[in-house]
Amino acid sequence: MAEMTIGGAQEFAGEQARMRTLALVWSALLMLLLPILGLLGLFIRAYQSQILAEAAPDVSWFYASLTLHGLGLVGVSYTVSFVGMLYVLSQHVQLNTRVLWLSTALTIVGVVLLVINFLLRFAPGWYFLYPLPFISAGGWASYTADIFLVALAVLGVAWLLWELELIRAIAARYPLSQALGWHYLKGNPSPELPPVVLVATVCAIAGVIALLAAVAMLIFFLVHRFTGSMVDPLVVKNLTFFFGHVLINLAMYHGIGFLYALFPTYSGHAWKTAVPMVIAWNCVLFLVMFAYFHHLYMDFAQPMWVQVVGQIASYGTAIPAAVVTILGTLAQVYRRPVRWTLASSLLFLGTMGWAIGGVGAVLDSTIAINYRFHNTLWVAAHFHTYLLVGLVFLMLGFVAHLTQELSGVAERVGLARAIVALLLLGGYGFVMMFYLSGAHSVPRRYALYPFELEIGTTLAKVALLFVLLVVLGVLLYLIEVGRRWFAAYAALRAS
Amino acid sequence: MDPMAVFSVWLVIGLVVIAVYAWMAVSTRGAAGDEASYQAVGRIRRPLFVLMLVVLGILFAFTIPRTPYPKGQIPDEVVHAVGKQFQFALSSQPIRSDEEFLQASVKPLKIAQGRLVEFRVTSLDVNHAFAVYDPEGKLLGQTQAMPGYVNRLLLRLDKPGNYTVLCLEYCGLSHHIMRSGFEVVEVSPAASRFSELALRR
Amino acid sequence: MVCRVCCVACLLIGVFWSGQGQVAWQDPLLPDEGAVVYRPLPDVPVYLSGGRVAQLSEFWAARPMLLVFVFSRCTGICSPLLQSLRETSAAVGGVGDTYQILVLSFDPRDTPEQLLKRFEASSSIPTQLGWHYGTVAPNHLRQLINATGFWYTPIANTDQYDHPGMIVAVRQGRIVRVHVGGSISPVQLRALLREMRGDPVRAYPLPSANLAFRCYRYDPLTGEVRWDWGMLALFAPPLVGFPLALLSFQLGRRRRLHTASDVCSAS
Repeated sequence: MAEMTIGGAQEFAGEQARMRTLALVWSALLMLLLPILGLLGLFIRAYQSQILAEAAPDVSWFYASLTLHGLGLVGVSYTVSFVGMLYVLSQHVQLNTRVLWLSTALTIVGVVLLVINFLLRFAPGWYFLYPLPFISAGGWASYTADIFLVALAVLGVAWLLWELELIRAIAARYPLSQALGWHYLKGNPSPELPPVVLVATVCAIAGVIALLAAVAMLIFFLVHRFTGSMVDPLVVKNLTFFFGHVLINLAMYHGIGFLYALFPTYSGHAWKTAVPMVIAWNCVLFLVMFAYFHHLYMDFAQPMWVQVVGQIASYGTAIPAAVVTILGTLAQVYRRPVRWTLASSLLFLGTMGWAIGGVGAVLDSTIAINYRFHNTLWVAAHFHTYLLVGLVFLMLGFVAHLTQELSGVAERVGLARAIVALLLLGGYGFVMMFYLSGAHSVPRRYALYPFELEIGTTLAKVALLFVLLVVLGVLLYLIEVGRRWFAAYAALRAS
Repeated sequence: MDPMAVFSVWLVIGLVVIAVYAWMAVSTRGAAGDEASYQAVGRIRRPLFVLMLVVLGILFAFTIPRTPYPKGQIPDEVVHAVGKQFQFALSSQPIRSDEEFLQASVKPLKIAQGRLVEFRVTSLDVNHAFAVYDPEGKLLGQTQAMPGYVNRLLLRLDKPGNYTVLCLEYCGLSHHIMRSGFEVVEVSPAASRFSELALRR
Repeated sequence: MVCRVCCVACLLIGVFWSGQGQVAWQDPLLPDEGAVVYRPLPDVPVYLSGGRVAQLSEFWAARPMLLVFVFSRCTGICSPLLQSLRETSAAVGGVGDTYQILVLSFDPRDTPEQLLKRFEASSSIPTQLGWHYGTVAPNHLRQLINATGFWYTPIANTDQYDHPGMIVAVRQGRIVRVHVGGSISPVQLRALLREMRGDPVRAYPLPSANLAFRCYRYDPLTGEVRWDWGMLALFAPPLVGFPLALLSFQLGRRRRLHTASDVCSAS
């Protein structure tokens, strides 16, 4: 920013401070929402294990919990990781935090509406696959579908706003070709492009497209709502899965964006943009648009070429992840005097979760394998691996880093090690039960398992033990990082 | 593709990943950190890229011919499967009325062993999934039951016994109890022609 | 693609879907493909013109065949159906080469020569290779009728029969499709030919299902397929999103140039 005026520099500093506040607020939201939504997950597994059989809560609570748990955690993953990426990006581009605050406020409104719906036991599942929200066979009141549509609209506006703001901020500094690193491909590494800018550009473009798909999907829902006419469910299914698949992948990519920026502070080695990274992320922008077809393999009405493209694109997205990000993370660590803290450990291990979940995903994105795994617990297994021991680790690592950076509070090493050990053991044990269940063709989203598939109940019971380890790990994390958060908050207020 | 075999593949690769990460983490103990080590890992990029291309290419070439979509085989018979919250109706005859739907949803269906059956699957309300489990509880195959569409699922029913049909697409509060079934009966070769007519409803 | 999917006739399971979430059921008088599909045809002798006799299996062994039931005195659906099939098969091509057409009479009074005279000689389209006209013995006719689901009833005090228009697609001796109607469009014929050559349609929409915003809109009367709004909805997000992103970068470029010129003039 060589050409910045003095006034501009002051404004930049002001925006930086507001960005820190925003990041701190979102850190608090993560530490509030993650345990609550996680406890819903505990309830879900407990219900499936039948240990709650005596208490016999109504099955509507199970499915309402499943709905809020899924919607909530996808939303939290997307938003918190987005803010984390913006936080590190703000070193390089000037973001208008007023827009981000507005999006934050709207997101909170959307979340409140979803919680209200949960209390009204609205339970179409977190895919809300059309036309289920409207045709519940008496399962939930019809007005809850209206509340849901309003919540979707509010969240859509919120997230479209800040994605557009992201594009604006990047565009204010970089031309598109530079922001996508094309000059590296011409053999010219100047001007140097921070990796987070490259990632943010890819995510912003894909994010806008995904949210426009959500707009189209919402319009179809509204057509059904106000005209009573049935819309082609296959068209809406395509839009729903395109939106959802891209959104959750972007959440992971946001995490990688702040990983690139933060991990070098622990490894002591810069993580710079280079030709492989540029090729990888440009390919990802293209491939992520088509991989969503793997959600519709069992819709035989989809054309064959679409199914094959889905498999190719799904395989394709695994390659940049492995050869650039995973390998890059390992290069940052190998024989280097890494400063192992709670933050750096979680960031490092988060990429391991991404790799292991990715293997499960690649296998499931093979049509012939998906035939046996589709809608079994294998699906839950791979995305819980991506998320719980992948992206959640990255987000927890970011918050641990942020709060320590802002507070300067010394880490309690023993506690940090205990947190990592509990989350690791609990997380992987938990997802392992899903993988085993999927291998036995146990269906997903079942409140209770049929007698032919009793192994599902047994594995749910075992999973509970591991969940308790995760709960303990998260509790200790809240204690450790919570004190840092309050110290950081006090420091910000004082400055 | 046997699910347990796929699980084993995932487990082996997962353990390799964990081992690599553990080794990398251990390597940081007492490390000085030099550029040569960084570059050494970077040199793996190209071989890893080629390896992934080859492995994924082989997996692609091996699995694409094994997709479950109808490929021109002529089935021995057709079974019509209609899903509706929260039951499936199965019949070897087309289901043409509410009465026939109700009858088909409760009347047992028998199919002769060894037949290649085409299930024509649709839904009358929301998305369901039609998943067939064999007598040993193994998922044989599935397809989506979509309102407004008919999907054609071909299965060869080699084992005699009771097969279970479960709904695998969340469809409402009784999703987990939406099930149906049919029986595959052994038929001796001499009686097979007569039985084929007798088993049809 | 979905185009072909949309073209497949709708009667496979006899279920219709209408808007408002209500189910409408098929007219039970119409032959139902779902009741007869994959049934084997009986291998009966067929009497052809010039005194020739051939087993039915000789036809399907040579190549897949379409089987049509008519009678020579028909003043109803038979002529329009055969004329439509003649025009369509000429347009689509392949008859006599990749498939053949066997026209059988269900009227015991008919001879193969009468069929030829009635439906070939009087047609405006020249005789095509691959078309065969024949009759079968009454007991064999009953077997064929039972296997295919065709029906006919004499109309009292006339020499006419009440019967549906029907074309049965046969591959390797088994029924693979049944088309019901008084005519057949090129799109519908191509769908039958696909099944006959072993390239099945994997799934199909119920054309009677009154769904809004399909990818394609198929008119079963004309066989016409048109793009519908659903296709636009699927492609709109990237078609709008990419230009929107490009536009944002263009606007950003102008702002960067504007800011740079301000700085230059200030210094």
